[in-house]
Amino acid sequence: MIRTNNLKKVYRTEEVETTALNEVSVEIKAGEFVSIMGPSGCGKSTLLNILGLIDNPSGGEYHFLDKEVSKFSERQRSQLRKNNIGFIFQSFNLIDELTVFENVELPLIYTKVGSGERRKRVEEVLEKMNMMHRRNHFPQQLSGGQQQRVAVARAIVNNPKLILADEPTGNLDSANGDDVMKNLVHLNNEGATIIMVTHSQYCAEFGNRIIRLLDGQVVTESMVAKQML
Amino acid sequence: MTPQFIKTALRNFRKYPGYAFLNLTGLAVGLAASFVLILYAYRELTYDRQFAGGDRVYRIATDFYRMGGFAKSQEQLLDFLPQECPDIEIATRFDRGFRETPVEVGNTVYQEPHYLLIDTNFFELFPHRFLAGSPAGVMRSPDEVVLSRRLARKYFGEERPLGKTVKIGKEKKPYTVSAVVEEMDKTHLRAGLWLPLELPEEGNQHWTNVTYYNYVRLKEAGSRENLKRSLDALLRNHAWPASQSETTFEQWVASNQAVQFFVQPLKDIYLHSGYKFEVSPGGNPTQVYALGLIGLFIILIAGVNYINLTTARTSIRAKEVGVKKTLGAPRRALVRQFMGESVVNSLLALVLAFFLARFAASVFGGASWAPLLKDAFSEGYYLGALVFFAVLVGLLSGIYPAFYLTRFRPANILKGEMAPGGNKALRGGLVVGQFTIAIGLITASMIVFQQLKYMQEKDKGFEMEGVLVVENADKLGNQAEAFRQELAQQSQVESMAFSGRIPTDGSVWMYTYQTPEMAEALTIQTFPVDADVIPTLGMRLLEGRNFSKDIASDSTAAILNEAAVRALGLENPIGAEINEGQRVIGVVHDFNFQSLKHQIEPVVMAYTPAGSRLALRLQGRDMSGFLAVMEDTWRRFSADEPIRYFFLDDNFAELAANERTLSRAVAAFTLIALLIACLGLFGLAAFTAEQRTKEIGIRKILGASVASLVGLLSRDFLKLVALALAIALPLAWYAMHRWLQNFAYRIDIAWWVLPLAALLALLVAFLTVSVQSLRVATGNPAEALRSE
Repeated sequence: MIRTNNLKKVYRTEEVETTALNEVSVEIKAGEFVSIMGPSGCGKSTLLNILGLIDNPSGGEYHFLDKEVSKFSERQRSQLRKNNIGFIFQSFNLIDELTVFENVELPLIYTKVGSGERRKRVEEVLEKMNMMHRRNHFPQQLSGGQQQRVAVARAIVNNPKLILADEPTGNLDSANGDDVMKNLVHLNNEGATIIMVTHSQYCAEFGNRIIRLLDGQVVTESMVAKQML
Repeated sequence: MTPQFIKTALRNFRKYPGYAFLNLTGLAVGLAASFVLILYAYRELTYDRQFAGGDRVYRIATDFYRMGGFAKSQEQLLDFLPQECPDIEIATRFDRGFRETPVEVGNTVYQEPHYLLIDTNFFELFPHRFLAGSPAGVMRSPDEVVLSRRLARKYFGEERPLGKTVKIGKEKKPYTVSAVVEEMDKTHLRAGLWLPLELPEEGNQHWTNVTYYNYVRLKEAGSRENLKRSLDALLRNHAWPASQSETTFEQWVASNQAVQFFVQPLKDIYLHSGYKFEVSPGGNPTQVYALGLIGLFIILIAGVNYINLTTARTSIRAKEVGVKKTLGAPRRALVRQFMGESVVNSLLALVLAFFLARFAASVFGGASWAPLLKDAFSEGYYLGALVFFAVLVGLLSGIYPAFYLTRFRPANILKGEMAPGGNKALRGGLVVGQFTIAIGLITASMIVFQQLKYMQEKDKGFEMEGVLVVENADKLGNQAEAFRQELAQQSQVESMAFSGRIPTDGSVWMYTYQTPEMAEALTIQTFPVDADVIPTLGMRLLEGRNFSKDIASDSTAAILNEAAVRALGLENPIGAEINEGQRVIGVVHDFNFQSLKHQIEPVVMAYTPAGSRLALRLQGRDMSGFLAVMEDTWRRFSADEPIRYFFLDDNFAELAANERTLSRAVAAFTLIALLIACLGLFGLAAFTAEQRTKEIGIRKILGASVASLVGLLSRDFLKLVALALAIALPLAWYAMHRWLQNFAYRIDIAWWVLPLAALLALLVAFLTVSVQSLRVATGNPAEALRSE
């Protein structure tokens, strides 16, 4: 599903040039749950953004669904993105002015799903996340755990092939964190490919493979021995 | 040490140059424009305030035969009035020079347009500053002259002017300079020369005749009502008996034959009088109020911009406030800091305004308001006022941001819990206010422009193009006819006519007419014309025939316009008798001889072969060649009296000069107001876009298109503009409807004017906002999220 070849990303400001990714080559197959780990500033989020088609690499190749997309324009990336990828963020990134229902509905509007169908699917996924009773609330009226459940609902409402999660438990207490992780595992079991960036070894082990980055380079890749759950 | 607020203000400029530019430019343009306008309005509204005791000074104006009022009044008025009215402290009469007079100093001849012929107590009633001589001593002899400082300097340079001799008038009568006074600028009595008024030995003592300007100053305890009562007594005791009316006093007062008096406070004369024979042309109150109001509007818009842009950026300054408060800064100090910054801002804007105004004055040097710009920035007194004005604007627009920014508890600010960007509803309201004003001005300027166009294109009832009028043909005396015959040789001359009066020339001739059926005579505008006036001016004969010099009875005949036919109630005008022995031989189409503000009045044209003016209808090329020949010819007939002439269409355009000035100024300042409002909108849109960067990023990641994002960002602003439209359009329509009532001949406001103004406003607002929206909507979503 995903294959990168010597992916590079360089940030330039007036005085400094920072290499965030240095010749990263990874391959992720459909149905995998991959965790990316590493210390702050090692390039985890940059890699995730590029994999999620919301940023362009400075060099190298990126094959997504068998297409070389590293030179795609924003419009082309947007097309691929909205039909295939769901995002979950550490800070939830819900839109404060929209209700729970409207937040979850947004990806469906952008993929031009009809309103009846939208309603059905939003309700389905809210039900699944156990958030139906909060459908008319605004994000600021919810706890962190609830907000992240809404964010997960929004990420999966379009049935994406790929779910990208950037520190999904970073702003949550451990109970809520566990809750989110179980949801991700569940989605993975239903067939979604998941790539998650995390600081936490504990969370990383919910996946089946861990990629470790340091200073923009892959240092180790390891399989996770499955025991619990 | 530089105060901190200056340092922070300057550092903020360096850090956010774009924002600083918007804020400063808006404020600078606003300051320059509004200051000029307010200055102009203030100047016009405060004429004649410089005379000590001026609030007790009144002019007596008069009218009779319902002719419309005269600024001058009767020669004998002041012989009777002081006896009737014990409230009068001092009364004076004077006259003005009718047109410019030659003043010969040594070998040089100057032409001086502004001079007054005054009585001995003139300077007592109108105190001037005497630089030489004394007010008590002047006008004691018939050959002395008082000069303004400007003229004294012009004539004599550095020499002492007192006792010097100048020769004035065509007769070169010698006058001795007896005093020099400071020339006054803001007065309807502006003059550079004051000469003694010579009362004729045998005066014209009719009450239906005006000769002098009559002014009185009341005693401190005196009242305007007493003055009015005395004038009423004067009517009853002198004017009514002199009229030899056979009716009672009350009937006479109610009739067309009555003499009336009007008491005008000195300070109202310049702007509000507008009678016939004014001392000098008055101001135009509509224009003064309109431009003054626009000035206020513009500074409001600019101030609102400042408030909006500053409070919108609260979040940027919030951390600074939080930290300072945590470190123990009292709120007072912070308020002072922000107000200080605001004042620094507006003073910097003032510097910019100065250059902008210089620039505007050079680019629009021809525009009628350009001299105002120069005035405003050239004089020290104005500059002082301007600095004061700028500081005031800075303080006023700094108050809200200062108090808003310093209101929050430091813990909340540092935790980031403060609502960013200030009060959204207030900001929205302010934007609505700005655009209400801008849209109102757009609508107004469109309607003013259309009315002007209409006035230019309307059928005036005669053909004014190509008509040249020699104003002073009567100066040639019996040579006038010879002059006419010589000009007739020129190929450019199509026809010529002598007339005592030409449309637009401002002269007034009125006579009373009374048909046998009428109980009371009617005073009607009269044009003494020869037989060639109707064809030369291209007037259209509807019935009957033109005058003919071959028909002897035409010397008592009359031609009426349609309005006169109606006014005199004639069903079959041809042959009707309108005065004893005066019969109608023709009717012409109505024609405009005054500004289009006035309804066309009834006109009687009477046959008078030797008029004072010579009208020439010209055709073909080489007009300058013809003018040279005409002037040459004139000089052969009259060496010392220069020819005076004008083109009729120029003169007619002159009648609409006020409206043209108004239209240009309104259009120019409308553009400025719109520009400032857009600058504010631009800044606000940038801020909103910045504030919603994260949201935009999220939406993009979820697949939103650029168009939908631009729509999203622009929608809120367009809603504000739409609200402004809803408020502005009805108000503008009503105001302009009222303005149009000033014109007897006016347009109906076209149906498309309001929609077009609305469309313009929406389009301009959309373009302004979408520049910002596009920038954000096309950005990289990853960067948008990173900016958290």
